[in-house]
Amino acid sequence: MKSRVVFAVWAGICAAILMMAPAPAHAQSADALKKAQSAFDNAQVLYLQGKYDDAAQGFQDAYAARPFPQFLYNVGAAFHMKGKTGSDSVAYGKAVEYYKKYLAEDPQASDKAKVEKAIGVLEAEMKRLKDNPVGAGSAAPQKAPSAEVQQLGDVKVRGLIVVESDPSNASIYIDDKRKGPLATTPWSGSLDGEHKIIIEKRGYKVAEKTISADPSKLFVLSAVMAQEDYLGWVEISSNVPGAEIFIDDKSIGAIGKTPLSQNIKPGKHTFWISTEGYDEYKEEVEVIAGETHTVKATLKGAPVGKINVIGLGIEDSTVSIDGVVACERGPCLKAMQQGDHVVTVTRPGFKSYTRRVTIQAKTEMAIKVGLAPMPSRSDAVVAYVLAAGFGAGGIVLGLQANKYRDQIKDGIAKGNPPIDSADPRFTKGKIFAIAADATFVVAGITALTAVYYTFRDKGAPSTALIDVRALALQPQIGPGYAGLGMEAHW
Amino acid sequence: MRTLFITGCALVLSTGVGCKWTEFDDLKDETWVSSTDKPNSDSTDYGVAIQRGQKSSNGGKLVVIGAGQAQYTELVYSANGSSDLAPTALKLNTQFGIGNLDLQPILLADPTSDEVSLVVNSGGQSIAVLTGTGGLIAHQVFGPMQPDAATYMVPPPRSDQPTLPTPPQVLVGAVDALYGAFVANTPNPQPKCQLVDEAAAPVSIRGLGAARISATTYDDIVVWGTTGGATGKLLLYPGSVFNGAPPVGSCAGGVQAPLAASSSLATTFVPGKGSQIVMVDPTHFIVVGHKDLGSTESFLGYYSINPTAKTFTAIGASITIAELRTAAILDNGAKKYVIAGYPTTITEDVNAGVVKLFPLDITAGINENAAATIYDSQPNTDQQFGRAVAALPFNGTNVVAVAADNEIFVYYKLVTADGAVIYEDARSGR
Repeated sequence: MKSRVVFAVWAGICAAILMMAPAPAHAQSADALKKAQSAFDNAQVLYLQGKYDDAAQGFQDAYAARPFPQFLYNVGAAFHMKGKTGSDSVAYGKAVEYYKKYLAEDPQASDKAKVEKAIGVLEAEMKRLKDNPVGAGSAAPQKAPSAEVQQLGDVKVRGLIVVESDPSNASIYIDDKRKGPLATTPWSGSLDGEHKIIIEKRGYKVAEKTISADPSKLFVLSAVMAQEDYLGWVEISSNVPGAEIFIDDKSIGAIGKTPLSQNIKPGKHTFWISTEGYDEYKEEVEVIAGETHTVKATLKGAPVGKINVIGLGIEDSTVSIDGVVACERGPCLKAMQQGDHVVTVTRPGFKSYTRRVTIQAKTEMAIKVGLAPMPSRSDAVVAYVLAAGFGAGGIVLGLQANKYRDQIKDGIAKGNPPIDSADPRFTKGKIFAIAADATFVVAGITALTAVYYTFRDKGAPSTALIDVRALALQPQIGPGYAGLGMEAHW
Repeated sequence: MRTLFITGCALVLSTGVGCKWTEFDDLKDETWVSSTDKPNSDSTDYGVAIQRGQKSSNGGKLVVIGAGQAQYTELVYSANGSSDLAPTALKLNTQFGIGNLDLQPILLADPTSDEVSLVVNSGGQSIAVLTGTGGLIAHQVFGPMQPDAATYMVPPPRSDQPTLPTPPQVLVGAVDALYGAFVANTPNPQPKCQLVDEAAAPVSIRGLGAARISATTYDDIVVWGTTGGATGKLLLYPGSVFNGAPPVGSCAGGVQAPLAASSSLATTFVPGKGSQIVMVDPTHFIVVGHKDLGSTESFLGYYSINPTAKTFTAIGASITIAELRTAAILDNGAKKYVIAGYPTTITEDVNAGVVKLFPLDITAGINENAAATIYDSQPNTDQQFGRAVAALPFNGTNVVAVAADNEIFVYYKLVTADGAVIYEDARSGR
């Protein structure tokens, strides 16, 4: 009985201690976000009800809980609509104030120009209202927003996607990793449509979530990442951004493009980094769990140009370069080393096109192929049939001639009745023999003609228009990478 | 260039697999029979009668008579068998005013010379006897219209000029009388010699022959005829009576009394118009009998004349194969054959005609089993193969010549149905 009492006391003490202890950081952040989300949702309802002051206050509360710049925009929007509905100069002023705060906090905002325009319009409206106070003239024109304000239309508050992770600073990928990381957590912004969000951080399991966010709501994706101590971490980069990365097995295709960082199982791995126009980079790395490994590929470029095979029906054509199939189906854009190459375009039912071309470095040769349809061989078939007919006719005639010859020989040998020199079979046999020979000659000529028809190159050949343009090297900058790339401008 | 190549290939191929048409020319040279078509367009019915022409030791010559219009031609056969038309062809209408010929014109060959004679109606009440060697000279027989028979005979010396030569003369039989032929100054009326049998019955003459029965210098006359129209008879008349002037004229030196036969022999066959007597030697002959139009019955018999008794004897069996038209004797020494023409006999299902060669033994008679039956190897309907036959002296031997409708055949070699040689190839220089 005594022991039971002691246990209960210790449990109570422990619970009190736990309740008194400060909450963890991620718990605090979650609470703030929850609070912000609640305030945002309430403000959104108020906004739709036209209670713009209350809505603005709700958005300010949300910002107070989590300072996302979009909340400041929404505050400005609420005051904007209040000012518009009542030609309230003070409300316009607050709208301008919060719009500016929004831009100050998010200088790279995608709608920066639009917001700046709204600021300008509202400031002008404020001045107009100030210059023409209510009661100084006709009330109606003053109550109505100016045409510029009207042109801005009704302002809608914005939703927000918030991606957080615990721990933070995890890489965020949209849909797949090939495009490279979008940002690191925490991140807020707008996304349209359905997307797969991939959150990855060294030493933690990859978190994936597919979202379809309402653009008018606050959507919070919060990932608590579990530790993955048995994995290693690899960071892959190259001097040429956007190079394809293959790991261990090329046949499964590229897993992404440089730069790329991701977890990887411990053990020996082979990395290939390649891109057109450069020699392939290969490196073997012994990955150790919990450690970071860096693969820096230095791709050495060869003097290359490009061949771009295009044309009508190219999608059903096979393009071979130097006897090797380069593209099962066109159009076919391939980087080739400087020098002579033989380009062959084939398509079932069409004459193939073969052309030896000389590729120069830093140029793109566009070959616009016009494949000519294979001509009909009906003439050859007809010729074969005629040849066979003539041949058969010749055989029949020859057999008839031989029949007469044999009859004559037999008659001469027997001598009873003896055959006379004017026997019509001499003439008939001779005519048949001559006719047979003539028919054989015709059959032979017809057969050779048929063979000729079979192999002759009838009709117009396949042709191509060739155009060569210089390729310009230009800087390419992307999320997490920068380098030089080539593009041709037509 | 490509065309040349293709053509060349075709020619090479055709050379390899084609027929040799020249082979037929080579085979033509291997045949034993020469066939000569109507050499010109002067006659529509060429070859109604043939007879040997001028004899030669190198090649041969065949007289061929055409009808519609009448034409006399000579086919010259060179030693190697090739034939050509001699330039002696005559249009009888132009030369002698003879437009049409009898159905079976009488063409005789003088056994003692190269001369031939064509005995035909010459229009009106006269008969023309066209005689010559290479050319023809016209003799006239006035009185009868159609000749029934004719023969060459060597007459006895003339009673008025017994030292004059007595060359063979043509004796023409018409109805029941014999006539001699005159070149000019024909007496009017024409002298004739009427024939009667032993019973003084007039004899309708169907065949005439000249026999040399005894060691005389002239021939006696053999007649195959009928008496009373129902009985066939062979009759023998003495040639001595034909010693008038002109040489063959009235019997008994101009006596107009009928001449009675010295002997006779009834034949089982009553000969019709166109029947013949063909002499084998001076005392042996064959008779070729056929009925008048409307009957295909025919008769081939062999007879001899007893030189002492001057009587007829039938030797061997007669041959009564129907449709016999004409006959000739192929005499190559030890072997003799009767060349018998059956121009309307059906052979190989075609009414084309055949010629049969019956072996003839001078003492045993005619062998009814033909040694060979020859016909056109490609017979045609109405070809009338065998409507005239002859033994053609060629390169020193005798070969068979056969006339068909507008076609003349000469057989340079003949074998029996068993392959036994009747005579070897007579051609030379081939």
